[in-house]
Formats: sequence, C-alpha cells, structure tokens
Amino acid sequence: MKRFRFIIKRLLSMIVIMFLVSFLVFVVLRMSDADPLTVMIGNNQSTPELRQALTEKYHLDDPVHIQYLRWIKGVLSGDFGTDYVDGQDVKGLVMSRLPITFGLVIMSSVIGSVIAVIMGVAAALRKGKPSDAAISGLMLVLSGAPSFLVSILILFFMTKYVPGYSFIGTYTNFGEFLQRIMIPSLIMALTFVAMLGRITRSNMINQLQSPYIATAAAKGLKQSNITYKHAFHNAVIPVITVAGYMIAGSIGSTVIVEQVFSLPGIGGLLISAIEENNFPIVQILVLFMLGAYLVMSFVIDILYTVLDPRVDLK
Amino acid sequence: MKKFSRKIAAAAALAITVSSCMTGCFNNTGSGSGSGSSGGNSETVLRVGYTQEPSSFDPADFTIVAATLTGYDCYDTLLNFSHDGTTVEPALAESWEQVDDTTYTYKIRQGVKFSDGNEMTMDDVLYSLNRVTEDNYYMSYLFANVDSFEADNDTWTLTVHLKQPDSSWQYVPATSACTIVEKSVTEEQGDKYGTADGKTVGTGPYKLSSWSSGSEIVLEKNENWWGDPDTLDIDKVEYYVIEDESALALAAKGGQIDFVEGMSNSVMSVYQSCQNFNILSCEGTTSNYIAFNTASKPFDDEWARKAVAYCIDRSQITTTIGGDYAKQSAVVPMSESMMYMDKDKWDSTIAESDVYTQDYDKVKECLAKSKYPDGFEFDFYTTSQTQKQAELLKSMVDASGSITMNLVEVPDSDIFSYMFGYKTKDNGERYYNAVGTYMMSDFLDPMGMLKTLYAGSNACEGGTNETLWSSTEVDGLLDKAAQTTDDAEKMGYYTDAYKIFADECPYLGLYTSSDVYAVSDKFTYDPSPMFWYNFSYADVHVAK
Repeated sequence: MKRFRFIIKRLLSMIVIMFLVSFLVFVVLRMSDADPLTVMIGNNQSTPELRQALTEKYHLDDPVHIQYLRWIKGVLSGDFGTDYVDGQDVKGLVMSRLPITFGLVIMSSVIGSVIAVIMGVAAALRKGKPSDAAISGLMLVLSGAPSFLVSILILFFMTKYVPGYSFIGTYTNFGEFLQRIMIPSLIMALTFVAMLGRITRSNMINQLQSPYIATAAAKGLKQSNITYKHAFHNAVIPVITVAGYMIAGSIGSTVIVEQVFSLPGIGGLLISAIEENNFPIVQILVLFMLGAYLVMSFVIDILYTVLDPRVDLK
Repeated sequence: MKKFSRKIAAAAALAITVSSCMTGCFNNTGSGSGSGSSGGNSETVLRVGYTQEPSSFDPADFTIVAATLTGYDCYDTLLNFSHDGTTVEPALAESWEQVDDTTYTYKIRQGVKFSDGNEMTMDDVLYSLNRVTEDNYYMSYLFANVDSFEADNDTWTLTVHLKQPDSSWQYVPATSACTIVEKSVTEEQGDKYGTADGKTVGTGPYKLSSWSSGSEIVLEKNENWWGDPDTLDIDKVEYYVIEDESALALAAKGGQIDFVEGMSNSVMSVYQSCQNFNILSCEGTTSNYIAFNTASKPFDDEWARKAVAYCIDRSQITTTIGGDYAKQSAVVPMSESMMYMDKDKWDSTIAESDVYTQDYDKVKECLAKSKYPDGFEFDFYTTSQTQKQAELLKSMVDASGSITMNLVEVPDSDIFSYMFGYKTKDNGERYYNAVGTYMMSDFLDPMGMLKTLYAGSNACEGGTNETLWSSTEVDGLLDKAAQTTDDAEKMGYYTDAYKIFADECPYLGLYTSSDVYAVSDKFTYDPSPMFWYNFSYADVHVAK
C-alpha cells in the first residue's frame, strides 16, 4: 500500500513537472529573438501575404498560453505538429530517429556498465598493486578524453586500417542496425567505464574495509561469498544510482557519435533544430529527454527498495 | 563445474555476438553497393557524400547545394545551359525563337513522360511557370519582367510576353525556376510535395527511389526519361548525409564515398592525400563581398566606405579564408568566368579603376575627406558560416586605429531577413551598417550579377541590392545593356558602369570561389561553371 501510494505520488509529480517544464520551454523559445515566420519562409520572398497566411495557419498571433494549450493538446493526442523548416510531420521525424538513439543508449550503457563494474571490482580487490594502478590510470585517462576526439580518432583508425569498414547509410534489418551502432556504442561506453569504474572501485574498497566484512571473515565465511555476496551487494547500490542518471543523460550526449558516424538519431536532430530555431522539434525533444530522465530516476528509486530493504518509500 | 560451464557458455555467446556484429560491420560496404563501379551485369552505383540534407525535392525549394546534388536530376528545365555556360540548348523545349523585342516562343517537346508514366502536357508546363512567378517564390525576381505566358495546346507552343526588352531573358528558361512538375501530383500533395514523406515526380534522367531522413537518399534511373536512359553510365546514385566534414573526408579516404562537392579549406588536405581521388575545380559564379548600407550613417558617406575598403587586405582574406581554389575579386563582386565576352576589356577597366589595396595612409586621407575625420564605429552583420572571415576583417579594420568594427552574429536562418530588409528598425532603417555575404549569378552574362546587386529597382524590401545604393546613370546603362544582343555594345555599358561602381564602392568584392569536387578515379566528371543549373549525374561517367 505504501509502495502504491509512493508510485502514485511520484507519477503525479512527474506529470506536473512535465507540464511546467514544457510550458517554460515553450515560452522561453518564443521570448528569443528568433522569428518563427522567418524560419518557415527561409529563402523565399517574405511577402506580407505569405506572412499573413503562415501566421493564420500556425495561429502565431494568438497569445502564447493559447498557443501552448493548442500544442500540448496536440501532443497528448499524438500530434506533435509540423516542423518549421522542412514542413515534415514532427512525430514521424522523431519516431524515425528513436531506434538509433535508443540502440546507442542501451548498448553503450549495458556494455559500459558491465565492463566498469568488472574493472572496478578487479581494481578494488588488487588495491595498491600494479594492476590496480593500471586500471585506475586507464579509467582516469578515459574520463578526460573528449568524446569528439576519440570518435574521430577511432573513425580514422577504422577507415584506414580495417578494410571494408563502413559507417554510412541507413539500415534495413536488425543485423545492419547493430553493425551501424556497434562502434559508436563502444565509444559511448567508455564514458560509463570511466565514471562507473571509479565509483565501483572506491565503493568496493570502502565496503571491503568495513567492520562487518571482518566479522564475516571471522565467522569463517568463504572469501568469494564475502566479496561478491556482501561487499559487492552493498557497493553496487550507489553505482546503480549513478548509472541510472548517466543512462538518462546519455540520450543527449549521443549527438557527438551520431554526428561523427552519420547516424540519424535524435541527438543530431535536436542540435540541428536548435541551430535552425525549429521550435516544434526542440519542444518535443526536450520534453522527451525530460520524460526519460524522470522515468529513470523513478525506476532507480524503486530499484533501491528492492536492493536495499533499509530504504523506505515515503 | 556446472556453474563454470554456464559462465563459459555465456561468455562465448557474448563474444560470438560481439564479433559477428563487428565482422558484419567491417564487411558492410554501404548498402551493399560494392565498389561503386562494377563491371558485368551488376549496376553501377555512385556514392555521393555531403554535409547537408535537402529540405525537399520541390523545385521551389532548390536553394541549397544539397538540393542540386539530389532533386535536380529528377527534373528537366525548358532549356539547358551549354557546358561552358555561355549559351542555352534544347531540353523540354526543342526549339525557341525571339519573335520580337518582347516576345519569345518555345516549341515544347511532345511525348515526354513523367517518372510515374504520365505524359507531360502543356497544362503542366503552364502550371509550373505560373507556380514560380508567385511573389513569394525565392526566384520570382527572374519573372519580374514577364507580362504573361500563353500555352497553345494544338501547336505545343509556349509564348512568353515580356513587359520590356531584356536580352538576359534568354537564359531564364535554363534556370531551375523553369523546372516542369506534374500538376496533378503537385496539387494533390500540397505542402508534402517533394518532402521525405511525400511524392516527387519529374521528367529528369533519375527518379527518387528512397529517402531515409537524416541518412540516405537513393536515386535510380528513370526508365521513362525522354532522353535515352541507356546513355546513363550511373544506374543508381546513393546520397549520404554526413554532417561532420572530417567524417565525410574520412569516408572518402576509406573508399566509402565516390563523389563530394564543395569541400571546405579545412579538410582539403585530407582529400588531396587520397590517392584514388581526383580534385576537380571550375570557376563558377560565386562571389564573396562586403555590402555597405549606404542608406544610413556612416556609409551614406562614400569616403567612409572607401576608408574601410583601404583597411582590408583582400589578398590575405582570399588566401586565408578562400583557400587554394579562390581568387581575389575585383572591387565589383564578379568571377572571371563572367568576363567571357571580352576578358581583356574587363581587365583594362579594372586596372584603370581604383582597386583599394590595403593602405592605412589612404584610410586617413579618406577619413579626412569624410564626415568622420576622427573615425567611426559600425556594426558588421555576419553568421556562423562567415564568422572566421568577419574576425579577420575586424582585425584589419580595427588596426587602422580610427575605425572600429563591431561584429554582430545572427542565426543563419535570419540573415536573409536582415539583408533583404524584412527586419528593420522602427524608423525603417536597416540594422546592419555592413554585411559580409556571397552571391551566385543565375547566368554568366555579367548582367546576372550587376543588375542583381546594383540596380536601383532592387534597392527595396525583398530586393537583392543590400547596399540600397542606386544611381540613375547606372540604371540607364544597365537598361541599355538589357536592350541589346550585341556583346561588344553590352561590354561598353558594363565597363562604363564598372567605373562608377569602383568609384562609389557600395560593395567591396573580396574573393570568388571555385566549385570544387573530389571524384573517385573510378569515375570521370567534367564540371561546368553553371553548377547550380547544369549539374547532372548524367554527366558523370565510369572511367575507362
């Protein structure tokens, strides 16, 4: 019952936040210098007749709150509007870009998290030894390496030394889809390895130095049991929190690999929409990213109660 | 042992999955197109890379290179430019005649089919022309002098009545403004026509096969093409959108791309290092320049304009910004390819006029003669695309010690609104004191540049004369040039006008850029100065 009440409360607060932020984004975009009519007209002649026709078509002379209500009503009924620059259906455009971004986020977070935890635990178990120094040093280097540079260097290496490697074009089946996102996912995974690996290592060291570990050892428990069942279990909880937020945040950070590896995802779509003042796309993508972030934090909270019975839901 | 086996099995499964993905990745050569050019019965694929995606295949939106490299080949125009760009040749109009000073007739080709199999009619021709003469069409200025179009369905003749004689009209039917679309499809599709979600139907050598937004566009031979489809070497064109220029260069270097147009200076060295690529260049009609707003202070004073002109080292701008394939421009922004009528006469006229070489002593002299002997400040409008150039210009102007140039960067989407006067101050004045931009001519006749930039009729809202400068003498000379078909007589008017332009300096030409291509040695291509209107994959051939 307590958990049910918590879930309802969180869902309601998420809905309120989504509405508030979407309204703020909508208003702030319209407070900018960018003129939607200019964006829509592009290189065409900006005649008074055309301006009037577009103003009427898109209800641009309505007060901002009325425009917002019209837009949000459309979003709730599945109509995301029309893109200002190309006149394309925003929903279709966003949906066509989602698979790449989801694929990148899921694959990079899974690969990155698994490698990070393995490396973090391995380093913690060998604390102070050369292998610990090597792993920690590698993670430090990875955390400081700029994604764009890494992407370009890897691309340079692949095109120069791996015959037949291709990073252009679209995909027609799941196999091709995996082929297109594999290398970019590995590059994105490096960020997970760098961040989560270091957190895993330090948490694991803290746990291994805790008094309860000494007690468990004194009771004669097997070392592997102490390490993986007790210390690891407690060490991994903060890692999951950080991983959750990193996954949500990585939706936005796909833009670099998408651009370098010419992948049609929503990161690149958002950047070009911001550059072009293409408001309908910016609005829906900001809302989408916020939604992903809120859902992820919600999932983390629920996971906490499963992993750590001491955590109470209020 | 059981647990251990499970772990081994899981690890093996993961390894197989990853390695199979990686292997597949390395073996994928871009939609299975193979080497691009292939012998035997397999199709020949040309893989084109570019940093932008076209917004649509509707000829009304053919404003960017990406559209020229994709949609243009799906259509035909009434006429084509000759390869050297100086004359016009038959296309959908098989012949034409100038009946009198203001009347032209075009005999339209019969039996032409659209890519959907429907026959082109005179109704389609008339509809296409009326569609682009609407005021809001970006090239409607080309039709400002058109009084009416008439279509005779029985004789397949299109008659164009002009309001006044204009010899440059002869070129207009070869521009993309005179692209013929299928009326029924265009009307039925409405705003969706030509977009990734909508239909595209034309009479050109190729037709749209597929469009994956943000990634790939595929064109294939149009078997209904009125020309002979068997003469086309390229069976399929795969156009890849690779937004990052460095990544595009690496794709070319890695053999994934066969054809690139418009590489910037910063990545040129990568293409030059590709052993299997040829770098081709052709002087086009693109000119980069500064336009001074002569309708308000400080540049309503010609000496203020000249003072700024003497600050600028155009040779350095050309080398640093324009790169290897740019040439320093004359004061009037116009490429050498447009001087075809009489190059020697142009050269001597340019030499006789003031060429504004950087000289800070002359800056002081000009300021002394101006209303601002102590110097002045001005706002220079630019976009992210021309930011580097603007910063270099600023360093040269500020080095004078008397003139200060303030950079104002506006979004790319807004620059036209400022330049064409749609965005003005409350008192109607334009925001910019000067703007750095570029212009392409619609044809090689110098009129294409001179009238566009300098004519008083274009110094208005929506007009292309960004300086708002005008001169009745110049307008008279341009009118006279428009009324004659004699090249020598025209040259006389143009060079007379040139002297006035150089003396008054409303524009300062910086450099002219060539059209540059990187083409795989599996293919050959002979570029034309009229890239914008002449580009066609029909002219790309498999290397023998």
